[in-house]
Amino acid sequence: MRFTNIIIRGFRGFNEEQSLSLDRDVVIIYGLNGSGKSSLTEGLEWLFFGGISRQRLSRCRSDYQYEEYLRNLFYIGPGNPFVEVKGILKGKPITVKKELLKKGQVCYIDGITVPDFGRLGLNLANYFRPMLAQTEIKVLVDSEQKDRWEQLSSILGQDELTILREDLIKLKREKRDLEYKKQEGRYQSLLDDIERMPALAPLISPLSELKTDALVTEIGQITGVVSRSFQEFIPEIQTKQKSLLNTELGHRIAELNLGDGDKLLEFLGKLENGIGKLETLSVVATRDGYDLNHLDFLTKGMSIAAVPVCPFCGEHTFTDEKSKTINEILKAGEKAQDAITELKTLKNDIDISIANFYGSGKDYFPERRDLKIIAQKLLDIGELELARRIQNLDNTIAEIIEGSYNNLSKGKSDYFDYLDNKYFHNKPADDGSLRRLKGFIAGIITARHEVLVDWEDLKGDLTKTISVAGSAPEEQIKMWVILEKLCTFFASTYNFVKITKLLERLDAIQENLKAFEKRELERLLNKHAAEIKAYYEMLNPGDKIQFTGIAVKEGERRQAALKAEAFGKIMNPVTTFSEAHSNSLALSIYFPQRVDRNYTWETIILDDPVQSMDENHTQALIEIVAKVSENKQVIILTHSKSFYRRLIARFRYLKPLVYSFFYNDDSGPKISLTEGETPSLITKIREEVAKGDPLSLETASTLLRKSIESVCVEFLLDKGYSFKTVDNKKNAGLKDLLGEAEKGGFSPSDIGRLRSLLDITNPDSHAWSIADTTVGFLRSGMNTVNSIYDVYLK
Amino acid sequence: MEEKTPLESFYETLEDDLKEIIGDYINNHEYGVLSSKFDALTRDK
Repeated sequence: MRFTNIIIRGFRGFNEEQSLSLDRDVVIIYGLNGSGKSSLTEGLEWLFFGGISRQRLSRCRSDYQYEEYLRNLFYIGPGNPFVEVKGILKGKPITVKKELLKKGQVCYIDGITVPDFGRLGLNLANYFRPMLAQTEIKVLVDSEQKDRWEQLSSILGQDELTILREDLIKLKREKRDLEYKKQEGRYQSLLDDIERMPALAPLISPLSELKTDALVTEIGQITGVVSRSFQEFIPEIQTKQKSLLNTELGHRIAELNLGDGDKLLEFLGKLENGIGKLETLSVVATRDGYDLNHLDFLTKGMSIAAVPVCPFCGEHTFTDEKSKTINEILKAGEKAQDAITELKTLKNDIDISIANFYGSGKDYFPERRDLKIIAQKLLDIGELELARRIQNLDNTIAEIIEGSYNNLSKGKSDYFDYLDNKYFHNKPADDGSLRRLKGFIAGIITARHEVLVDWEDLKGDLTKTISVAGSAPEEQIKMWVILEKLCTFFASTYNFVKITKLLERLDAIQENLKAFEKRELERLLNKHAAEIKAYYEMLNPGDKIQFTGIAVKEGERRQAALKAEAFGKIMNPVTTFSEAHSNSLALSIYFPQRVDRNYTWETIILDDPVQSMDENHTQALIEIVAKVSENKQVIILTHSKSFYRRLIARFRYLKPLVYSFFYNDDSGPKISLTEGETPSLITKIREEVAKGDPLSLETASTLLRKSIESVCVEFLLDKGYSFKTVDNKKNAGLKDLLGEAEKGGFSPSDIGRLRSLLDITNPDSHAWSIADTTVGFLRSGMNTVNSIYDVYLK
Repeated sequence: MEEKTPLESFYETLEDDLKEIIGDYINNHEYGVLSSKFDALTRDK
């Protein structure tokens, strides 16, 4: 993009709306410090890049909050502050505008609101800013190495490789969707199954490499089935499985775990034995009518009455004889206490045994889990009646276990109640409870026996249909199940192979890309370092300090360091370069990176690029800018009068637009458009002469003298004289300056016309002044200078 | 002669079977082009 016009209102140094034409190959803007010219650069920065370098590079960024710093201090409206640029983009006129709101901003392209300027297709990364702001110059050299690497990577055109890398990652993530991941899980599970199955070892290699043709061949060899597809294997495999499943069922029937009958007898025997002791212990605990409450009363009474003599009257109320009698009673009661303790323990054990039966009861009966499997397998092979009978048997066992538990619990509780009532509470007791409990115990044994008889009957019927001979074919069954899963997987998810192989190819592209990026970036970096070096040498011809290249440091985050050399010693420009050398190096980085490689911008903006440059460096810079101007629009802002003059002289052939920012106040910068210093002076002389008062005429006289000086200076610079030479002549006085102008090409008659305007009464004086201050003389002088300017410089 | 872009140079280094995947993408840096190519290559013929 190149610019044709800029309008700024209420932004930074601009208050009132100002419109500047930029429609020229070279635009030169001169202004003293503080005249507002940098606000112009900042306006362009903010418009396209969203921030200004002064803020971006500041160490006090918190001072720049809320974007208030962008609004002109004196701006009161109407409307929002804005910056608008008209220009040419890809051969078409375009208007780009940004308004500053109280919060945020609004962007427009050709009057239409847009979220940002991305659609312009311009490089809008900071390191592609076509403008070199004053604050940026030092930072181009003095920046972090890791940041420099990232910028270089982008500047060297590696962005598109980065985008490809990111696109490949995105593609892999998107194509490995949920469905694919499920298939991948099934595939991995198959691979694991096959690796654990020695008989299927030949499948491992073709499966892991997803060679489907080889896989079909190997499956054919294992199964003995000739097939060209996974689908064709499936019915054959299912037939084989059915046959093996029958064998497996027979084995399961023959080997059914019937439960541990001996342990059941042992358990019930212990339970019965414990129950049998309870009544005897209850008798001992309450023998001879020992009333536990009474014994307790006596024990407490003994502790209270253990005072042999009354402390008040001295009478023996609790005699030794009484004490002896009570102690004998208590001693005799100890046996009853022991019996009570043992009774409690035994009851507790019985409680626990019966409670455990709820869980352990299944161990004494045929294995219900196996019965369920047998029933299911019978259903699978269509033996519905046999399956039903097995299920009934399973249900019966469940009912016996639960019923037995309930009976034992109830019978035990009843018997415990009987003992308590009869021996401890002297209440009516149920004499039949023990008999019933023993009946329940015996019932369990009987029930188990009946279950076993039923099973034997059932087994007899099962063996009529199912062979129970032979060993368990579990491994074989597993193998055929895996083979079926394998064939089903590939028959139903053939795309899985294609996607997986394509994803592997994406992996290969990523690997290639990684290696290429590393190799290519280093190559481009060397090339780019040579570009920087070339600019540096143009700016510093013959200098002992030379830029030598860019060193790349490997690591998790790559870094790029600048290198220089002086007198055979390697040096770090960041830490050792003088201000002037840093300035040169910054410009040497700016031109290749942000001008030569910045293809989308057809404009460069240099804001005071000669900050600490001497004359030679300045001249070299002008020549570089002249070369750039062959391909791009150049906008240069400067506070240096000498640089300004030289620019005008150097670019006169391009008829540059020249602006002067001559002062700035609360309404904004005062800007005049001029074609050079001399015409500007002529205009001012005309204004002063028009006023006609003596003071104005005196001022006009001084300006006329300056215009004579100016026309000579501009002429000599235009002729290629160095600024230093011209400056020396100017300082020597008008006599020398006119002499040099004559040597340079002013005709003797024109020199005579200029001399005629001066008071040369003293020919050796260096301070010739204007000969007269009358209106007529000054007008004539003004016309003389103007006509000479037109002949030689316009 | 116009210098090759880094992407074009990278493309030249790839073997043919990998070129097949990103060939169209090189001319048009659109993710959709890459994704469509992937789908086309995995579609049942």
